[in-house]
Amino acid sequence: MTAAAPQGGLGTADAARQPMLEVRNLVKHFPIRSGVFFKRTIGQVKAVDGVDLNVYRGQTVALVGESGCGKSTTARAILRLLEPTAGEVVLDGVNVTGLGKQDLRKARRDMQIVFQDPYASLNPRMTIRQILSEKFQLLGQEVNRKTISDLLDTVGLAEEYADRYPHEFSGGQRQRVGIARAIAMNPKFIVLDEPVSALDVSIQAQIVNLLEDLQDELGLTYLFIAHDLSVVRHIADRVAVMYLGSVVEIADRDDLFDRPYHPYTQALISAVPIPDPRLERRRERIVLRGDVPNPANPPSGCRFRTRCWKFEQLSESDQRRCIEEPPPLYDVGDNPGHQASCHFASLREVVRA
Amino acid sequence: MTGSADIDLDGPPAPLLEVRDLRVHFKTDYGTVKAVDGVSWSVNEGETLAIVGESGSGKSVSAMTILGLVPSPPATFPSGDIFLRGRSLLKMPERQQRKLRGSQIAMIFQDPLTALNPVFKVGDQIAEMVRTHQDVSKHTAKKRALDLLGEVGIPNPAVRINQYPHEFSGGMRQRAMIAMALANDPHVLLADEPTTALDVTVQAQIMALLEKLQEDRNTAIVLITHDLGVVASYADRINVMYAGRIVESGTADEIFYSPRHAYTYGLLSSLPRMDQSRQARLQPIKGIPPSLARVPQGCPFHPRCTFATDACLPQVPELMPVDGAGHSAACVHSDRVAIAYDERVTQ
Amino acid sequence: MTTTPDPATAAQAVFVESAEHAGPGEAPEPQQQGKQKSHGQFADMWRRFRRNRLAMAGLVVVVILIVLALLQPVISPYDPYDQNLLNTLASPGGDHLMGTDALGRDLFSGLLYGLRLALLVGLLTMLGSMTLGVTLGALAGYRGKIADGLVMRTTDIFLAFPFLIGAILVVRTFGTGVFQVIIALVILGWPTAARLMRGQILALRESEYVEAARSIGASDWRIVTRHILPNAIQPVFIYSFTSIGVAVVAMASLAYLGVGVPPDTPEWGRMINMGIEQVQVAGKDFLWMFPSAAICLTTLVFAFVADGLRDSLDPKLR
Repeated sequence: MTAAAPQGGLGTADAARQPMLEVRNLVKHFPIRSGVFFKRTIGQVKAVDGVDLNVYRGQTVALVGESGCGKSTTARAILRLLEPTAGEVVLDGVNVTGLGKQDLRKARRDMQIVFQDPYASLNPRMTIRQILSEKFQLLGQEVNRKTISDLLDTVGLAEEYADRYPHEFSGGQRQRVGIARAIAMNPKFIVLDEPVSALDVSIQAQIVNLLEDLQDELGLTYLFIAHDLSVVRHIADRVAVMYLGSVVEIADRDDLFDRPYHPYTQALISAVPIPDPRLERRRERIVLRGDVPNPANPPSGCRFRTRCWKFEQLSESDQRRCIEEPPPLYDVGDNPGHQASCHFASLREVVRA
Repeated sequence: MTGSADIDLDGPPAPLLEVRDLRVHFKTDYGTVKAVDGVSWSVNEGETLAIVGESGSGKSVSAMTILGLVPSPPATFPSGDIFLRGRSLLKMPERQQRKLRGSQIAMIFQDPLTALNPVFKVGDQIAEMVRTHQDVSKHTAKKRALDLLGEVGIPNPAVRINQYPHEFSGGMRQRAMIAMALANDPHVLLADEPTTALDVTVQAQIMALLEKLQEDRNTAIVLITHDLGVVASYADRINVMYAGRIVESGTADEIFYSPRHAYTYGLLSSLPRMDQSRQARLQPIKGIPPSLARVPQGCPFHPRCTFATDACLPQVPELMPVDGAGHSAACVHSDRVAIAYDERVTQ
Repeated sequence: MTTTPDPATAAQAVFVESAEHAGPGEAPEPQQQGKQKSHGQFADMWRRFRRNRLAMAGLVVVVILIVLALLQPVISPYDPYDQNLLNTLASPGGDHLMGTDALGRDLFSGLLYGLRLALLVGLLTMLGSMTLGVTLGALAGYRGKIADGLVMRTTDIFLAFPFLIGAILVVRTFGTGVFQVIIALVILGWPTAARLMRGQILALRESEYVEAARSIGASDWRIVTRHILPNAIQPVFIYSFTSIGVAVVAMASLAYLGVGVPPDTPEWGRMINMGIEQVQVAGKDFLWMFPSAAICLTTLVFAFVADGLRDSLDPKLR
């Protein structure tokens, strides 16, 4: 990254600025329905349960966590691809959650998404040119040959293949098309939903570099959804860790990886193998017990307590606190903007130990 | 099978499982796909051999061939042999081969749902596996299934044994599949991307389980994966595959600290690292892997290689010893790669 | 960089997978192997279709059958209704290629007329049940909720009826005639098409490219017509093509039972029925064999073509 991209965090410079994206208490519940003719609601899957997030202009915030933690749902609720149950999303001063159908369509110009699976995110019956032109047509802008060829050039594809169908491209090339669709018409904010996890190792780096270059050139703001923490450490300015629908820790990148405070973050980071055999031999893994609980019926108090390695070491009265009292996001660590939702948060080095 | 009959006490000690000059080709409309083209490797008791490669490198095909899972036609096997304890597997009668597969050699797949039958109870499937290869009563087999489920760390095995695969979570299914693979105490476990579909914390659980089982039973593990982090943590020796061939082979330390093939070098340079604050910029390998139906002539990697010269073109480089006893690479420019890697590391 | 001077390699080395804008020919696209330069979607479909030999053979026969049906008034040697009581049950050969029936009508002319009838009923049934099924299935799938409940429970009711009994009931209600038979077959055929369509829509509605279309502001109407229908309709279309054969058999079964077409119509099922009556007479088996063979052939060739269509319509298959 270059100097053009501001360093993340809530430093003094940031505090004075308005965030590009502000997410307040975002909630998304999915009703569980049952019935033959008319469905009755018999429960709620609490996929996202009160997420707060700030993303500053030109910054990359990563939302990480394991499958089912609600990170993708959060992203889709922010973009209103899923209708949020509650909460507020403000993009560059515009309250997205309050927009009517027509205004929302206009607002889509400013907020875009790149999908995980390049094989599923392009309509197999449309040519690349049709796929890219569609956006201009829908959002009311002239499109001509040059528009498309410039766009393809920006993402490193040659124009002469614009009239081919997606299946004629490799995974990496399709992802470039997906990126081209997202950056067309200069959006302000882009959700990157696991954009490299379906790609081969040697291709991942190409796409990561492309995303970084585009951010520099176009001043884009990214929300990067990922489960691969190595890529996150490379690309993100700030990282939020999610577990069972809530953010459990949020910090600037180096703070999060080098000085994690939440027991889940620590377990997550320690579980990621590092391509360095000598380092791996001396690293200790925190192996979590069991599986993620059912989000339709999450544990009381701290949601992580059923799998928490620290919980086991606590005294009975401390354990009762975990069971009864949901932990808020406490300020932790020495640097501002580092928060963890654990009553007993403490630093533990896990990357190199 | 009893162990003693298989061991040749007179000759030199043979590796537990050996693949020699294996070629697996597929005839297609678009030409012959050389999925595996002259691959040799071996693995011993208690050892973990990793076969690393990207999609389409042919990394899974040799393991599938060992288990007889490659249908022929369309596949042809122009050359190669597979030895279990020095005895040729391919020259045995079909029935004996089948007996060895599943009992002596077992496989763990990426997607447990493809290996577990959705309409049968998990416990019954494991018991069935036991009874296929051992002459035991239904009751004994069921008891064994119960023990196995406990051994692979499934809580409440007595309840779980009577459940169906869809009632298991992803990590639990993977454990159940491992239990099934262990049903007949195999000497070799072939694990094809065993954790790719799983979350990292679950991956850590499963890999810890495999490590423990290996320690207890002295099993040989062939770990087929694209994940260099997993390889660095769990492999003793590593074969790097590209376009159907092994391009570099060595210990984990040799591969990660002194790579001698330009492709290995490229892979390591393109990786983001979780233990390093933001690197200046990732160094991708340019281009994309070739189709196995049209592998470039000469060194298959040369069109994407930053070290390539005319010397790479005339023929396919052979796997040659570089430094160390077991370290070999199929690269004309292995010396230049070594120098470049040292420079990069010291930077 | 590319060292192979082979023009095919150059042609397929199309895209450049590199942020560094490397020149063309850098790396051959793996999925492009053996492909020549660009090509239309239809050329591609035709190429895939031709690979299926059975489908090609089926297509040839289908074309011949359609030509014969169209030319029936011209090439028919006799009027299929003309009786000749002086020349009944004539064996094949001579003036009558396939012999004559108990009323002295020319069997070959009857078969040709029956072919015309069968294809007409088959095609109209397919079009009718596909139109109805696709519309209602799409409505159920995309709208969900009450529409879904209504459509699906209706299909349940229709599918619960044994096919022939249902058809007999409908024909009895509407009266005798070819048109009535088509109505009956459409009424009984659309639920399967609707269910298929609904399943497709439900799957595609959640697909990433539909989400992508919404992310760039596409309206519901556009998403359904442009993104969902073209991808959802293919399995329904293939099913409907197979259903042509089913309709042919169904009409023949009805006619065999004496339901549907007027009794004296030269229809294959009627012809078999009348042929069976002569089965005791030695050497007259041809009377039921020829129309039976015609039904088998027609059903089979449409199934073969449907099979070929499945391969050719799938852009992922190459």
